[in-house]
Amino acid sequence: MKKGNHAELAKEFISDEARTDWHDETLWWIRQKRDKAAHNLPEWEQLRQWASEIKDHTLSNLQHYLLEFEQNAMANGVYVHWAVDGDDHNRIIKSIADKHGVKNIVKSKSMLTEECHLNEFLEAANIEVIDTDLGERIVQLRHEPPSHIVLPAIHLKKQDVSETFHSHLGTERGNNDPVYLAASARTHLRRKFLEAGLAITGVNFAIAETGGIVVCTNEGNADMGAHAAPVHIACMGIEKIIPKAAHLAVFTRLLARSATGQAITAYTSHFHKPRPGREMHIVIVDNGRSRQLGRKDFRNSLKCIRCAACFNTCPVYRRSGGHSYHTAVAGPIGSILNPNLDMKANADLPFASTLCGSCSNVCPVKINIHEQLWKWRQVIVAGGYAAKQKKAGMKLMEFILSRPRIYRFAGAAARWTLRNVGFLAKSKKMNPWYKQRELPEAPRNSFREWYLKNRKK
Amino acid sequence: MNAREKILAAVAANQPESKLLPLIDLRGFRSEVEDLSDQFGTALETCGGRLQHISSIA
Repeated sequence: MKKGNHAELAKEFISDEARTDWHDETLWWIRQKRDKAAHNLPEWEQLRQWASEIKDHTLSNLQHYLLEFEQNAMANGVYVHWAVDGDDHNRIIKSIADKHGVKNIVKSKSMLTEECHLNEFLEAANIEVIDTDLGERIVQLRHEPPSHIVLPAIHLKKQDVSETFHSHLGTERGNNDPVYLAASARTHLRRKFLEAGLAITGVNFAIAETGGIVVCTNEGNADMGAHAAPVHIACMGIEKIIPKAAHLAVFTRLLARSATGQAITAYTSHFHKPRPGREMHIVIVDNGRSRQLGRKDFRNSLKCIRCAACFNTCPVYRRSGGHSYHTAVAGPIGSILNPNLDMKANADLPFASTLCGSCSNVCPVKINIHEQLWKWRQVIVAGGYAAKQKKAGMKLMEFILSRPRIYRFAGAAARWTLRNVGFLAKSKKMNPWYKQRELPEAPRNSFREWYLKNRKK
Repeated sequence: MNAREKILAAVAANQPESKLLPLIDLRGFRSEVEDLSDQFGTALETCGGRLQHISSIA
């Protein structure tokens, strides 16, 4: 993960203007696909309401459903493990790998394992972990984190992928044909699938009623891994629980449409128990989620089904790229989840938003994301985690805005400065705010002066 | 206290007051599709494709 705050890392991303434009347009295209898919379902808003209410109910009875899920999963012959934090989670997975003498693991997409830094942990123990989602494999070969939770390599162009594959997989230099590149990845990954002694998957939904889990992918890589390897470990946060299998009818209708505009993911795989002679494990992870559950203003964020619709619509995400968020889960939802994990390290994220509310409007489970961003800002400032310049600036604004005479004087002084020594305000060194903006011409009078002069006419 | 007990205790301490589970009934939303080719075209366009009608295969 890159070091720096959101503004510093975004500066690096937007230095390539053409790429920034392309990234912006690509994600907006996906947002438009989502809109079409949503509009094709007359019941869309009812589904969102139901999804939100099911999650509300589940979170308010979470202990009960976790126990029900555990009991049913164990009755199915699944080993259930509990992990308080990321370190716990990583140790459990390593202990299972060690027990089976496994040195080669394949892993389908799991943002939880990214959050826990599992790959780095296992690689340090000389265990190879291969990400099998194509986008994730591309960024893994480049030693980068995913920049998007659904489209991990969306920040890259096919030329970048071609160069990466040439360096690591020995493909033909300069061959940018996506079909050729995908076929090369397929050949490379097929060997890894066959060598693996253990497969790790994420969990989209864990059904309390049956003890089964559901994994949604478009590439079938979760299925390939879990079916080929003798041991399957599924890693899930405590918030992935839903009460009944019938509730999947609501969530699967919402998930893929919100994520990519598809009616459904190409694979919606149900895993209930190990095949004869094989092992299946489920690791249930807290890692701060129970703390978030106790935060009244923020518990709603635990409803997230990781569709990334809020990423694709966010004007800040689209133009700053996922790596600028320096966390496993980026975008608007990441900006309300990550301060709970580490408020100091992620104090910049709730400020990386225009608070336009588009994220809340597209959220399939009706999370009030933009309101939580605003509330996190207050918590962060009250906790003393905001940048000193920001705090000083806000104090100054408070002083000016609460004193009408000083406000009028400051307005007049600013207009005079812009008219007469505008170069000061337009100096990128003196005024970093101006770097990405154009200042309008300053009017001679304020609106108040204009109104007082003209209201009698 | 092991990890399981810690997590379950933290969840029990922090979960809000119980809310009702909604009754889900999707049967009322089943649409009657008149023309399957229209439905196919709509679905194709939704996922980025374009349907071309041709008069013959020549």
